[in-house]
Amino acid sequence: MSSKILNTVMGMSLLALASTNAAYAELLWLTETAPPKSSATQVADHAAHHHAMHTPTAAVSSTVVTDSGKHDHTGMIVLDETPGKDHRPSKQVWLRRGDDIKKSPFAALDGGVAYLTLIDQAGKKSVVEAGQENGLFTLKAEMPEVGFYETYLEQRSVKEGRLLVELPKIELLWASCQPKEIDEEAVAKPIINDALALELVRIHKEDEGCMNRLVSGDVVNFQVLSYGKPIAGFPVSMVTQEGWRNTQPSDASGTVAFTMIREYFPNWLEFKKYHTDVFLVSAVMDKQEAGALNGQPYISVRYEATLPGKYRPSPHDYRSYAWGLGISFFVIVFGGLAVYLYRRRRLKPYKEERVDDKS
Amino acid sequence: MTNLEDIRTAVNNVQFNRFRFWLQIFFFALLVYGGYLGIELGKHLPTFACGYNKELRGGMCFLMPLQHWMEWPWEKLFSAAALTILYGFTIFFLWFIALNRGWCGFACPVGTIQDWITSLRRWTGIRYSRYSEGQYKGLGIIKWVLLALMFLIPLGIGGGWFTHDLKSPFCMICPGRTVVPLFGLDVSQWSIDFSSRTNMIMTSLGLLVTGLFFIGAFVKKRFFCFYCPMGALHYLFSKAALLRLNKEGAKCTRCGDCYRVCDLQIKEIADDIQNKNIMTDDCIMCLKCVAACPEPGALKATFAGIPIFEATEAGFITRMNKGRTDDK
Amino acid sequence: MTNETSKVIPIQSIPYSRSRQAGESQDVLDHIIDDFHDNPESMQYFYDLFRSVYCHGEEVKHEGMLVGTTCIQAPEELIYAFGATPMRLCNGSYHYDQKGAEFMPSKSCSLVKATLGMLNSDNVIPKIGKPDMIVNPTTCDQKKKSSSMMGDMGYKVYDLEFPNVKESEASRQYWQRSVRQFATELRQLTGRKLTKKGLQAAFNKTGRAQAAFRKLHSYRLLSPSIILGKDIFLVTNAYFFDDITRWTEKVEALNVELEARKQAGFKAVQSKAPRVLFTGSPPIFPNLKLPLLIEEAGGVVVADESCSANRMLYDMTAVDEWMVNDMVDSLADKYLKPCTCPIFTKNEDRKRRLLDLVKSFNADGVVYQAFSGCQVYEMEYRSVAEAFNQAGIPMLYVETDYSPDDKGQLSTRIEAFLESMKNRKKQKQRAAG
Repeated sequence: MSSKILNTVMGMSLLALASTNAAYAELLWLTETAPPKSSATQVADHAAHHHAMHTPTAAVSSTVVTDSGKHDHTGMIVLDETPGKDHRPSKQVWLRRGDDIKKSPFAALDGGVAYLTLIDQAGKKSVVEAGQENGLFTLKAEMPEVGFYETYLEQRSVKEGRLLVELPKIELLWASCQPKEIDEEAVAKPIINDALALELVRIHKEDEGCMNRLVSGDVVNFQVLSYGKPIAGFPVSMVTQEGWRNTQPSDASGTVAFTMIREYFPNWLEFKKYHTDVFLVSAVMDKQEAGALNGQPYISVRYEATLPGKYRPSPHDYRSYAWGLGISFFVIVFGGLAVYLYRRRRLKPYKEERVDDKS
Repeated sequence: MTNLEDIRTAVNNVQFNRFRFWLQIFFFALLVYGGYLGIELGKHLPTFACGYNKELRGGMCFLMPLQHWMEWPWEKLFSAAALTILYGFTIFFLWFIALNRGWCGFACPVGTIQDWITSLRRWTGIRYSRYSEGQYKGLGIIKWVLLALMFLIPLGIGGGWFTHDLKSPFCMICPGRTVVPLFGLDVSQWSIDFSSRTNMIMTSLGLLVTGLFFIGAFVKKRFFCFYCPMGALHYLFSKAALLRLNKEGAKCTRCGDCYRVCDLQIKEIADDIQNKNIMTDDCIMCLKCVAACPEPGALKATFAGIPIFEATEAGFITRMNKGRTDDK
Repeated sequence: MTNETSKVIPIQSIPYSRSRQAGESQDVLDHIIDDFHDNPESMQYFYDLFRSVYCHGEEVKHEGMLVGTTCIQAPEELIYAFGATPMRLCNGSYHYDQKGAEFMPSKSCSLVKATLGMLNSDNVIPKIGKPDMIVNPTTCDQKKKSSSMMGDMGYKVYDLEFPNVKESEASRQYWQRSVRQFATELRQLTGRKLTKKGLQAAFNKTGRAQAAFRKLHSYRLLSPSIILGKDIFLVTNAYFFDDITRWTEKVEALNVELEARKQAGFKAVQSKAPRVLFTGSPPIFPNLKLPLLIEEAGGVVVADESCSANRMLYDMTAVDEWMVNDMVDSLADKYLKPCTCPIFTKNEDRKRRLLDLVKSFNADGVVYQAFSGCQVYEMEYRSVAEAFNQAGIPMLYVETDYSPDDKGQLSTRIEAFLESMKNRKKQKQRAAG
């Protein structure tokens, strides 16, 4: 009994310490990026790998829900997108584990089916069954209308007396370039799932409309909510593709602001306007609640909510007004001068008819 | 019947320049600011209601969706999806035949801007320039070349030959893209996009053309209309239109008044006495020629065969007299 | 030694009004007034004008410098804009014709002979005074050659270069340049500048005159006619030398009277009077021989295509931008492009104009006058005749000059022509109805 208590106490104290580190290592998050095609070579033993990476205090690390996870360390996951990918009415999402955005493996869910909840702008909920592809969890979400859809997955497991509730969420978008076709107010309103104990919501930019327009340099606001109500003073973390990490506590209204840093430094000639970087926002909440899941008792609950997002290079990186104005000014001045001189040549009388040897 | 006669007389004797000025302002407000009032006339307008004027526009220039469609991968372009294009063309056609090229002369925001620049020039007292005959013939081909390129380049993208950055090639060089959004206080189109070589070149070309547009429109009346591929596209359908410019050759004295006032320097109006329909590929149907013709019935604008604006002596005298007395 | 014969009885100088020259004008004017019924009251001004100028030899006043013109192609608006007064020098007097014949070739056009005869004489009637400059557009051959003759007579002559090909762009540019040079010449002559206001005022004057003429012209459309051609010729001939503003006012008064006539259904001729289109060499007072013969014989001249009437005042100038450069170029175009003078190489426009006039004025036939010696009108007769033949319109070709000797013969021919026109009309009506 006392060892149990000691364990718990140690666990809890380590929680604070490790919460900024290891907790994130096992985060479950949804992504739109497809796994690399070479994931046919499936490496074994997910569980062993993960255990090896982290402290033996199992309490702090959430076990993988599945044990036959197949993943691939070696395949580079391509994150660039072709423009216009957002303009399609169906999206496919995969599940990944671990917050190393570039390398974290794709996960599978075992044990039957998993259900995802989709909530659209009108608040309508629909439940969709996930499937598998190449052994990996995947879902093809159909979006009946243009707009944003929040997709939620809930995974519960009990490990060493703690219920782990993983709440990966992803915001899917069927984008539209036509500002007229969408109701801007409806689109700007954040979609909230009241049934979730922990949720992260990205607050859209004012003029975002129905497009994904996040660029580096933008300040992005997130709100952390519990059962639909904002939580103040709660730490929210963001990790970017290159591993940059930031944790901020939420303010009185539950809002946290992160500035998207620039991570794309290509060779200038290889610069791609539509290069996409991914970030992952996460929040972890621990609660003392007792209960049982499938016969397994638990005394505390940990909620892990994640929300990924994408952003592109800022137009300030490649657009120049100075050049634009410079060129047009130059053309106007010199062109105007040329026209003026040309018009003056009319003062020279009729020399336009010419005869010479060749004609 | 006398009422109809009175209306006819009033129309024929109208102060044409003033009427046109206000009608142009009306269309300008409608197409450039209409979105503010919730007006949305669709994406198939046969005039430069620029699509880059995102928030406020009352409708969109057809060339933007047209280039967008032409850019589809060929499998899609030559499949059943082509029905969308056919539908689009049909709507465009229906809009077009109502006003024929009057869309150019009265409704086009870029045309209106050019007319304002012309008024500015008149206020400064600087005289306008005319093309010589040789220049006129040579430069007149450019609009057809631009029209062809407008179709071919996007097709090349769809077929995989050209980079996707060449999308909407005409929009990139059109002065509407840079100038019309200015009226919505949007200067975003005035930047050079260095993200790829193609983008750099296209945006630079676009601003070059914008610079030329301002100079050209200052010294030449309706400078850009002479090169406009939308005009060339119009002309392909103009025979079927309801609004027509007709001439009765027997009444023409070949005084050349119509040619003098024509912004586009079209000689055929004055010289051609055989054809009834004398609209050439350059004509923007501003109807200035009809207003300047002193011979009754020699020139007229008809809508579905009914004359709506005819040359009359009284009309000519009123209009030219106004010029003589107070500069309008 | 003194010569007995040198003692010559001096001829007493007699007032002009009793000279033979004045008598010629007197006769014609009396004929115009007295031998026709129901002359419009407003015409009285014109009758009095001609009486005072041509019969009494009174002075014709003018403002500013006097610029004489020998052809309607000289741009009057420019002359007005510089504060000078244009006056057309073309003369219709047989007296001067005979005077001119003394030094002109025998086969010359009567008009040129008369004009030169007038300029050469001591007492120029109408008494306009010596022109400060004579503008001589290089239109027909005889006018061209008279340029140096006029110079030799002591006048300052300016050759206004006029192209002989209408269609080419080169001609148009050439003529625009000529007009601009003329403006420069006028500036040197008058010492004034060409301002926008001055030019606009000039346009106003002529524009108003042209508008008044157009209205008058439109009254001749009516059938049966409400005014005779002789009066119209008199009105347009007055334009040569009368003050333009006054002239315009009087024509507007005439128009008012004609409107009243129209409302009242007044007929100036019989309903069956043959309607005649008059074309060709210009009838200039007092040589209104042919039109008077036609109207004496019962016809009515409803329209004409001659430079002493219709062509002088019909075409109106359209200007796009009311700035001096555009106004001057528009003026140049107006004087060149619609001109149907036979001095051009091609005469398509003239034929179309004639056919259009016949159609709109519902003319029954055409009388084509050519002065003997007028090569251009004589040569054009053939193609015009062909055009009328194809259109089925009867035409009478008359080659004549200023002398009154052929009046009898012409009168017979004209009567016969009118008779045949009446018959054709009757036949047509019978066939139609």
